[in-house]
Amino acid sequence: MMAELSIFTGLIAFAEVVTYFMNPGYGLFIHSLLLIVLLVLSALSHRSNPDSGFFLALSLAPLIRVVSLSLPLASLPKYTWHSISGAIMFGAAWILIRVHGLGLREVGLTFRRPLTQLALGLTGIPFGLLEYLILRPEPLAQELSLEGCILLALALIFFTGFVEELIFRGIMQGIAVKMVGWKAGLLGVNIIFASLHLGWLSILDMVFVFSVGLIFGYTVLKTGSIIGASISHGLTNVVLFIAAPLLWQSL
Amino acid sequence: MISSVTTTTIVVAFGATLGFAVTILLISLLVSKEMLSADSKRVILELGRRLDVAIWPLLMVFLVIVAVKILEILA
Repeated sequence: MMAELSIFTGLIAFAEVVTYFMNPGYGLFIHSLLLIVLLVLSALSHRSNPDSGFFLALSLAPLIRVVSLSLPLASLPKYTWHSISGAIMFGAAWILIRVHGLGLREVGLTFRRPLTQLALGLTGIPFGLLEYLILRPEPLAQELSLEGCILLALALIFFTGFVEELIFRGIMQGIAVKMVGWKAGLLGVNIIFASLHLGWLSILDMVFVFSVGLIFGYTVLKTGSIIGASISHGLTNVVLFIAAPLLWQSL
Repeated sequence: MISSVTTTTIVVAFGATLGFAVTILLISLLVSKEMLSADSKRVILELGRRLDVAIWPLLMVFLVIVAVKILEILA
């Protein structure tokens, strides 16, 4: 399984390179092909529950890109983008959980060690500031009222923080660690996680995302819960796209 | 730290073309699922079940594409 993880990690990263540096159409084609291959491999190994789940879980990575590339986001306000694609990926994760028969605890949906979760959750604020210094994105909520900003912040916490943690740490890492051990599982899933951030066109940001992913992954491994990582991930995005740009503009 | 949304440039430049390509992918998956469900082999049935992981999200994408088109026409 170690070889399979390495191969698919490499192929997903390659598909991302093609998407962002060559042609998004070819990238979409490679991602679609990977998605189908992973689903077929999952069905072929259905007798072995962990193997089957491993391929099924990995299929969420190309699916994320297929969904995000094909949504007609240009016609919609920018602040709705993350909620729409996040809601669709939440549906995909939920279907996978049901198809593979995973329990909620298995994917980290539990409130174990609440103080640790809270402490990890609060790290989202410095992480967000740090990532803002790296990326300097445009403010997402420039034309929104205070209520709009709060709603957008909640949407970012749920649809980007929670959904991505459920996919990468809850489902993908949970199954990968059972298959290849915790070190290789953590490393493999975080390389996939970082490579899916290639679109921001910043090597420094990829290193940042990879490092933060390792911290999240290790904490999820130790606590068995994705709640703290989800809050931190969500807060990082709230600071990165709402708070820090507005603060920077007002200075 | 958002992986589920692509950059603005790609969204603006390729949105419609890629939406069309994904519609073709969705139709192919739906046809495959229908054909696979007629078979009695366990592997084939399992594949049909697993295709749902791709079919439902792509169906949602398709609905968003249709909704946006209708809104554009109405506007």
